[in-house]
Amino acid sequence: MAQVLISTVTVGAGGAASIDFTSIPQTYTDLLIVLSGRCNDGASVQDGVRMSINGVTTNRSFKQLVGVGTAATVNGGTDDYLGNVTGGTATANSHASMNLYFPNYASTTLNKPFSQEIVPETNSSAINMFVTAGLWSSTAAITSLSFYITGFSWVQYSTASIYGIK
Amino acid sequence: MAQQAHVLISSQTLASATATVTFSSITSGFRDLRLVVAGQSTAAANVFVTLNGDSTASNYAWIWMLSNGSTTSSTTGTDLVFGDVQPGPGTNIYDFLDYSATDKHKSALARVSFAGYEATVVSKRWANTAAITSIALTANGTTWASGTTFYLYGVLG
Repeated sequence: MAQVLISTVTVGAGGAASIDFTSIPQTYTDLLIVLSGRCNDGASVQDGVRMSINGVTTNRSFKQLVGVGTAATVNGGTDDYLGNVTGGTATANSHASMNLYFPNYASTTLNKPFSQEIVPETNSSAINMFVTAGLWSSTAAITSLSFYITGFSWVQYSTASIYGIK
Repeated sequence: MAQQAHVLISSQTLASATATVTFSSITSGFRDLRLVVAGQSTAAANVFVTLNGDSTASNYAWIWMLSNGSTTSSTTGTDLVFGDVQPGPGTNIYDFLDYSATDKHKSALARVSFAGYEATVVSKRWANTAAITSIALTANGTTWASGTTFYLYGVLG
């Protein structure tokens, strides 16, 4: 009964279009994903990160609380957006930090809500933090997760770990 | 990467709609407690927390920040409220920090995530130095729906 490391992905030289976890074992109660990442968009301080579940990006909904440095704002939608990660113009070597928690991920009778926070770290006022309530309206057990930035790649040393909790 | 250990203390899966779920006789062998609730209520409601059976409202304080997708708000109170629950799938994650200390008031954080309704963060203080030995969560004025799961973990530190 513990928090058990299932897998860690670290992006190598040349970057990667996505960070993927496949063949996720179905033997835990919950999943925790911890990600430290940055994308290669040379024109932006932050870019949107997205997550596909079992290769699917539909049947999703979310509400977000967004801190912009001077106020709290809101966001919501029905796509696979999670928030922003650090972009290529951010302070060198700074990466976004994310926690994402799926309870009952192996259930075949329940839809899959998740709780997530992400902060794209940099020494800039033009940066946001995100607190997300998300839902994948599917009773399928989660067997794979993929994190990606549309049109861009994760840079080297971006890393993510997935933990099983039971 | 350091690995934070969660140890399952107890779990409950509701076989029928239930107003209050209680974890009692919580041992003191951990640094923190994490209580993960996955499911929903039968109607929208505030969640009331009662620690060690103390239902005196003035012993509890909280501050709440919420986004419902179109507006954001922040509220404070002095009562049992500790987040809310909605009649759609979601999760409430509660962290009770340094719960077994006997020299400080107890602070706790809640992350309330209901994608059809809200993303909410709540900070809570219980003005009592006693170690937490029981936690009761009530869907105030309604019930937690059948099938809702409650997992209480001890976090080693």
